[in-house]
Amino acid sequence: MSAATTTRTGRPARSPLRGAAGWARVRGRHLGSVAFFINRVTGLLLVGYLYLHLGVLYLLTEGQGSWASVLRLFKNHYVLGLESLLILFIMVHGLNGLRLAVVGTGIGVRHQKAWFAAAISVSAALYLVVVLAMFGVI
Amino acid sequence: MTATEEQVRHQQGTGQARRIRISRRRHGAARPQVDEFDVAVGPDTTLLDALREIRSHQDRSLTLRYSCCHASCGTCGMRANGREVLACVTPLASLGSGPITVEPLGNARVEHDLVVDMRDLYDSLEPAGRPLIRQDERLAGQGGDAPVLPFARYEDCIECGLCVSACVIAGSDPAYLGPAALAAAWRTVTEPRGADPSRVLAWVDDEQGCWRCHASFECTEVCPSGVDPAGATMALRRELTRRKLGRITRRGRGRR
Repeated sequence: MSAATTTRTGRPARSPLRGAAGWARVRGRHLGSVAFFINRVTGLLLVGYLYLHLGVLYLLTEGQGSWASVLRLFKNHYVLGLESLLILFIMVHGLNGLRLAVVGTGIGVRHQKAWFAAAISVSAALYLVVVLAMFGVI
Repeated sequence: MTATEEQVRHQQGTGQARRIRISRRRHGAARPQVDEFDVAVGPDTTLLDALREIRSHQDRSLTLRYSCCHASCGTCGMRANGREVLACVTPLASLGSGPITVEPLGNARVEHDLVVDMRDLYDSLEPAGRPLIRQDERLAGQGGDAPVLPFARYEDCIECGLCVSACVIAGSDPAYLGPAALAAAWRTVTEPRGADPSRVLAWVDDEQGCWRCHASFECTEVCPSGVDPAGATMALRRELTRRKLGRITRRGRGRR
């Protein structure tokens, strides 16, 4: 048979992603896994932000000058962009969390993909409004 | 030569070559290695056809498990291009046009090449009381005291392990009961047939039971029999929540 050829590559096979690394497995996965992964990433980012926020609040104890410099920093467009992302993460995590709470108690399980699509759509729409308001367009 | 083999040969005569990369782990080897095979295929060639062709004509040592060839026995579960499939009903045409990467099922110990140890899966189903057997479909004249296990039809779940392989939590926590066991538990709760559903509910009402699921729904996506293990897991949670709330309400009424 002309097409039959065998190659022993000797190459180690890619180890399957195990443990928490398996959360990031993308190949062959479906929408539910995407939602699962997004919820974890946004959750971790929000925990990170919480500590950053506490650090910034600590500057209040350093006097008026220190706080004024923080306020000046917050008016920077790049920082505003990051702030808008924070709002996006909160909305995605919150609405997807709501979906999980509803589906997780056996309500609307068959529509979990539609719930996720709705959560992302509402988040995206609100994010757009927030960004336009932040940058003074509306 | 069987009809299927003849069909494959016919297709090969007119087909094109597909490259199949197989992740192979020898018994006792620390790491799997990749072997590549070019196989002539036709438009209807399934993954199992191609693997059997490799085994017959290129490498007799390739180890794989299969039996019925029509998605009833659940023995040919594996991962193709990262997706859990039954090889016997997966046409190569459905796996894109490039090389196909074939790996054994995940979240199970690899015995050899594409064969994994299924004992953990089977053991996990036992506490649910194997509710999958349709008792009214036993062959006439066979009783429970027969010297060999009586023929019985398993309902829906074919115990292929695809759901456990696809589950992200089963991958990060081996103590998790897993989607197959939870689906079996829900079968017992919905149709106890003399069994005590409370016992099964107490079994799954655990941090490693139905509450451990993180709702990625991969188990339901890959199930070849439409069992919907994720739906069953959520239904178990609903039932447990309903019973717990009922208990609190009754206690509140009792105090008044």
